[in-house]
Amino acid sequence: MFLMNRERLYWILQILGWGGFAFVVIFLASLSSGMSAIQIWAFVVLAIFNLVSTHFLRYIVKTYNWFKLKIPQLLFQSLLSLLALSCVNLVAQILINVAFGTLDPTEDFRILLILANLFQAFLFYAVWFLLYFLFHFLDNYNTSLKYEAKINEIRLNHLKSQLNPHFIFNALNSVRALVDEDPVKAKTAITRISNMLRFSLMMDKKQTIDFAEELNTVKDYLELESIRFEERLRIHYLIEDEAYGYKIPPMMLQTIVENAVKHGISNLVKGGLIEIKCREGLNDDLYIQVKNSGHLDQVPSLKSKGDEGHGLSNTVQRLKLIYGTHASFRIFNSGNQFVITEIKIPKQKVTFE
Amino acid sequence: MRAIVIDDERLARKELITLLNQLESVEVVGEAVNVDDAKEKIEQLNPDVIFLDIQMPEKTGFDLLEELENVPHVIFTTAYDEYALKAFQVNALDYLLKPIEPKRLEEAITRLQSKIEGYTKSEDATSSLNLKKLTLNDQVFVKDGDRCWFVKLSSVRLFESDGNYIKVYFDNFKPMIHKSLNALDERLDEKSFFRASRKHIINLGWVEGIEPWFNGGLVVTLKGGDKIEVSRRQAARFKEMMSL
Repeated sequence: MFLMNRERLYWILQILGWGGFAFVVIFLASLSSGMSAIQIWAFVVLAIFNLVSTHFLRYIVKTYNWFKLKIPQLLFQSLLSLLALSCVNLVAQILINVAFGTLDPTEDFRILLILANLFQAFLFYAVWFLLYFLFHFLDNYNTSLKYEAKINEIRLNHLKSQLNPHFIFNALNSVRALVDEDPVKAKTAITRISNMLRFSLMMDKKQTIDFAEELNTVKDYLELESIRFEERLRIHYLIEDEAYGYKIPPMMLQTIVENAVKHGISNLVKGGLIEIKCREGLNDDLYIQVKNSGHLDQVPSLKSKGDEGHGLSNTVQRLKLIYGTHASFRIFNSGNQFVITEIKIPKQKVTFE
Repeated sequence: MRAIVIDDERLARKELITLLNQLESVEVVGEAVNVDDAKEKIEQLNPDVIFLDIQMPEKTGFDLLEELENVPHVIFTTAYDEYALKAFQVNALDYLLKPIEPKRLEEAITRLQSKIEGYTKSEDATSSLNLKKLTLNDQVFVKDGDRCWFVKLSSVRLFESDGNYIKVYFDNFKPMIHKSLNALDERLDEKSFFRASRKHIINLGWVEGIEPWFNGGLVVTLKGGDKIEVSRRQAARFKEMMSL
């Protein structure tokens, strides 16, 4: 709202400011000596001139983007322009007096009075200029804070979606029990957890990674989940060799598989199946399908910021950022028993690092 | 103290049971793998405390609490359910984060023990009866949408029937539970709770003022300002109970 009304706010302040100026000047002058209607009009016209001239100054500031200038440069330019503007103002004052017939040549052309008028005009312009810049900087500061907060929120969400704490703590808990029951298995599990943590910390900077690298992480993940779920989780891989020639965004398949486990397996008393199928399409693209037991009651919102659809909406956004319209994402029921999540990834990226 | 461990993961149960077996004061009498299983075992074994996982397939730990007639003491176990735990608004409930720290477990048990002893001193130890009435010291589990409470009956001032539901009035809340007022009335201790009318059960401890009303009825004012009509039929009983 605030942003939309900035233009209007500017005009309100301009009119109020210079209107106030005219009012005060007229009021003061009428106190010291009587005023004719003509003199009042002269002051009103002067105020209007001031409004127009400051608006012109704003135009200059905006067109030549003075906000980007370095301080010394800005000081120099603004002093010069304020001075120039004051001179113009002085000429305007004289012209106005001529126009209204209130000019008194013997009085008004005294050098002292001219200098005083010039100084006065300069002072008004300087105050205007300071206020204008002050307001602009405050406003700018405000928006940059908001921007910063937004960026941080995105980063945080991203981080959260990488390391699913629910998974990590549950995995650690099962490993604790496993230490007594099967020490060898426990050791393997700890290595797998380390692999996953390392991977999710390292991959942050990369836009895409080798398919094999991502698949290994997914395998680690599913091995860990099968320690938790035991016979409730059945895993099946159908990977074509061609898939290994592709690069894919890191943690993307991982997120999809995690979702499949969370909404599929962990909601079923008897557990179910996770099947990962990767095959090459006809046009040099890779189809990755994750099939899980379960049923979608409603298609999850891919745009919402809520917790539930979070991983998926993130996935869609990332695909769009990296591949533009060349990638696709869908999630659908396959019969009554299974849900399929599918992404299509082109061989060539659209953007380059 | 007799305990049942409820968790869908075998290793998680095993881990907790191993920890509990190291404590002398606790005897694990059973374990359950889901809500239906747990319900059966709780009714059968009547434990003092249940260790309850929140995230379980098909029905959550909260669903179990809603289904139970007699809720034993509950200690939640969870890996990372910030939302679930936030759901608890009012009372400090006990929960343990998995993997469970043995020291935290011991503390939770000690706390629970002193709580149980506190009860048995203040009331007659009739607790072994399965069909005991709910007294002011008992807690009920109430869930309304995303929010949950363990409410001590002494802080409930009014039950009001609303269709198939009952509104439970306490503090500034009035969540609904799916029950009939008649069924509830039978389970409440008649020394503490009074059936004022077809629609209302009031907590006698919260009565502040009584005024006569039309047709020989009464209007009872509860602390906090709620005014409840006592039907003519019940008014006589009420007078009898409230006088010496």
